[in-house]
Amino acid sequence: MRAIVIAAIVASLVTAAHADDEIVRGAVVKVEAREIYVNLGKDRAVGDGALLRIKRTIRLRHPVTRAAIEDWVPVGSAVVTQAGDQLSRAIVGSLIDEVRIGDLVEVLIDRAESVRPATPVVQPVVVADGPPIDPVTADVLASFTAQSGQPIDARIAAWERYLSTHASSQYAAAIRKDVEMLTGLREQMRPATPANATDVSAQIEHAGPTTATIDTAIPLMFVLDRPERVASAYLHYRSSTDRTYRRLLLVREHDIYLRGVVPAGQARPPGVDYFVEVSAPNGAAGLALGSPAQPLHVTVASPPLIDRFGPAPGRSSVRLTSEVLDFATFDKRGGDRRDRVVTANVDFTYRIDRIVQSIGVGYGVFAGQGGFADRVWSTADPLPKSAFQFGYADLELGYVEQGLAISFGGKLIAGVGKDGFGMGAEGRVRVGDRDGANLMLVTSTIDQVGFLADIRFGARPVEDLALGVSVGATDQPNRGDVGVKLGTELEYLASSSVSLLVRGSWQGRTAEHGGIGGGAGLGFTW
Amino acid sequence: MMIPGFLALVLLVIAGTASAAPVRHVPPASAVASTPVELVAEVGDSAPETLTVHYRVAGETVFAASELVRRDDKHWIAVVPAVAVAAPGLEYYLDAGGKPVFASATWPHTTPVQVSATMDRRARDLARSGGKRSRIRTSAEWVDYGTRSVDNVRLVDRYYRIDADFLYRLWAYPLEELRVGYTRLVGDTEAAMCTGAPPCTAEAGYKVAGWFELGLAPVEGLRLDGRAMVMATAEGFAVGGRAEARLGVLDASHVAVGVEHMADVGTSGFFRLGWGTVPSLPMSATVEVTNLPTRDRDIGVRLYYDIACVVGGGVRIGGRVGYAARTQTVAGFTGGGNVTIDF
Repeated sequence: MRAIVIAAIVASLVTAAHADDEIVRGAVVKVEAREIYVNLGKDRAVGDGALLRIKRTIRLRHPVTRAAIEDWVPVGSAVVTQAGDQLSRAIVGSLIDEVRIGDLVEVLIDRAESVRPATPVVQPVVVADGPPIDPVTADVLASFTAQSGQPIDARIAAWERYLSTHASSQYAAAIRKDVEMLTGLREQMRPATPANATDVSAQIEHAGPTTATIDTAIPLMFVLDRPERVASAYLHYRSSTDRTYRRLLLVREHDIYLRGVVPAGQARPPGVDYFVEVSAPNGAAGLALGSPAQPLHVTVASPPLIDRFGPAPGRSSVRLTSEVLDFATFDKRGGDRRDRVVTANVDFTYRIDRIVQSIGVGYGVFAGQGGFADRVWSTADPLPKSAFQFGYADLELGYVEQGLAISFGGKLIAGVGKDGFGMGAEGRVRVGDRDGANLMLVTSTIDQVGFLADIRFGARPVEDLALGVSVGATDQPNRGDVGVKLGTELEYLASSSVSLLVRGSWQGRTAEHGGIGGGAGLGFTW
Repeated sequence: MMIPGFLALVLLVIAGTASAAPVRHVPPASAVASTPVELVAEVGDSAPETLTVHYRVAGETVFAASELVRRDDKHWIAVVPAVAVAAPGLEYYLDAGGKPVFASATWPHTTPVQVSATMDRRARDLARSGGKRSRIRTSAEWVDYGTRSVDNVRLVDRYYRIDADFLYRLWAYPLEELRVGYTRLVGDTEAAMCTGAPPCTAEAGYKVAGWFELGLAPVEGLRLDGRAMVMATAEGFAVGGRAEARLGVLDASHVAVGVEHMADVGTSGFFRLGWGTVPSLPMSATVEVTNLPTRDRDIGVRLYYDIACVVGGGVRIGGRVGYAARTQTVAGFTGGGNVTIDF
């Protein structure tokens, strides 16, 4: 490795020794159509037909000292078509898009008859005179020195090669920053075009896995056929359901092996796609295995049905609610016109992020008196009472259509009332996000009690507050006169696991026979 | 003028390629569990004196080693024995004379090992059961629908039930489990016929029933339990049965629906939701429609909540509280407990 350092340093010294007396330097002063103007002319021995070399100064940081340094990258070349006294015109053709005002230009002046300084004697670099260089630093310096005057692509390729073989080097972090800087500079100088991605040939041998386990990292190994043609390689991977690929610099081992690991998080059904892009030492990049449109595929099987009931947080919840609805609060007519309903429920819900969105079970108590708008209760017409203690099973199915969540749910209710065992059912349709804005239609009927039909709009105006407004009709609690119920519900999400619920309502069976109601609830999620 | 720089680049390339590994090995895409894996390495002109593969099952710490042997001038082979080819993967690296030439001990290559669907499923079941294939379970339950008085006659309506069973996890899919057990169900409830003036109560149920149950799972996670029962009831020898369809894990999150019929003792149907989201505290809530302890009784509902605590060593203790009623006016308490031992 020391030999490399010495060779590289010697080479750069030799180049510098010849460059001073035969090259004249100027700058691009105007860019026009397919031509450029440079501030070099006949006064500096630049004539028609002279070959211009165009360069651009870049500012870098030394990989070891991190000192700011200037270097240059080649932009291209052009031929002087019309040399003036102080300005010359040159045609650059398609290169015009890459040339900027201020770019350096150099012209090699043939001064064969002039006195050329003697070729300097290159003194061997005596490494022993300086401070000892550890192998890691020597590697960095060798790579850095070799990049002098190289195009941006070649510099990036060289650093990526270094990183792929020295990922844990003490200079790796700094070099990654340099690569980012160079990449940004490349974007400024010459936006990548599809043509750039086809001008490298490298063969990779690879026996890729065809299947993988969900949430398990996928190790990949690639074997280079002609390692000298590849400076670095990137693995592009994605979960097949994603649109974009992620990029990973493959680790270079034993020169011919490229290694990478698709992270466990990407191993999701239906699978993982990947392809490999390589960079040649000159910076040219190209596809070596697969392509974005035709990637290699690893199938990831869906988890067994049983795992969908896994103990993920936030899936289970229990809610305790109680509500009183009075239909006769504001009935000023004489006589006993009592008409009210009391309910209490405990709901257990388990949520699943599939077509089956939730499964639930719950218990409830329902008690009511009255149920008629114009009847007056007396010994001759006693107040009718009802009660129903019940349990239920709940199921909700849903899907998303063009970003809109739609779900259908229902309850099967079984309980005992004044006439013994009875059953009931509830059906509901929800349009919109269950935890956000949605519109829900609910209708239920319970044996011995009556029906309830409700339209409820739910919203979440602020992060920790949910609002519900409902309009409904019911003949509960005794299958009596149908009344209307207007309800408002506020749920305060005190934390991710606790919520408080408050309800208020007005309900009435006629304009005269109406009243208020209210309720409260407590929810726990874990 | 650029030649010296170019030379330097060439020197760099030469220096780089000079350290190229002489051993070329393309790892297999995958391996099959319990099947030997042949590894082939291609060597260059400067063949190493020895070439060794170091391998282990992924997750283990110690490598076993085996020398590759020449198959021809360029190819060397080694066979990793079947015993080392196990899920989740085979980890290995190659060295030549002690120097790694393919992967390394610190970062071996992993070839995924595929197992058959049955083996894979059995491994998951084994993990879920904590490696325990047998279970003993006992449970006792008291169910009271409440007491009412008719004509100054106190009519109780209650029963208790004791179950004891042994379960073995066979995992011969679709047959997952075999279960055999005994049940005692004795109650006191209003009788359809009285020796004296009605109303009256009489003993119902049976002293002991024996049963045998098969746990079938055509799809992992979807379970169908079928039970056949024989019993000696008040009316004589009778048969019964129980069926349960379940989605999920019984001891964790699941949803189940089932029916149990016990001849003249009655029939019940239930829906249960269980969740295992609190570690070591699985819970469930059940809605049951039943006429137990005798088929002549009105249908009632039972609503109960179960919670269990994993105390360790395969032992789990559970409790049940609930409500039972046949009408809205008379209701009673349901309570019970159970102990489960896995081994």
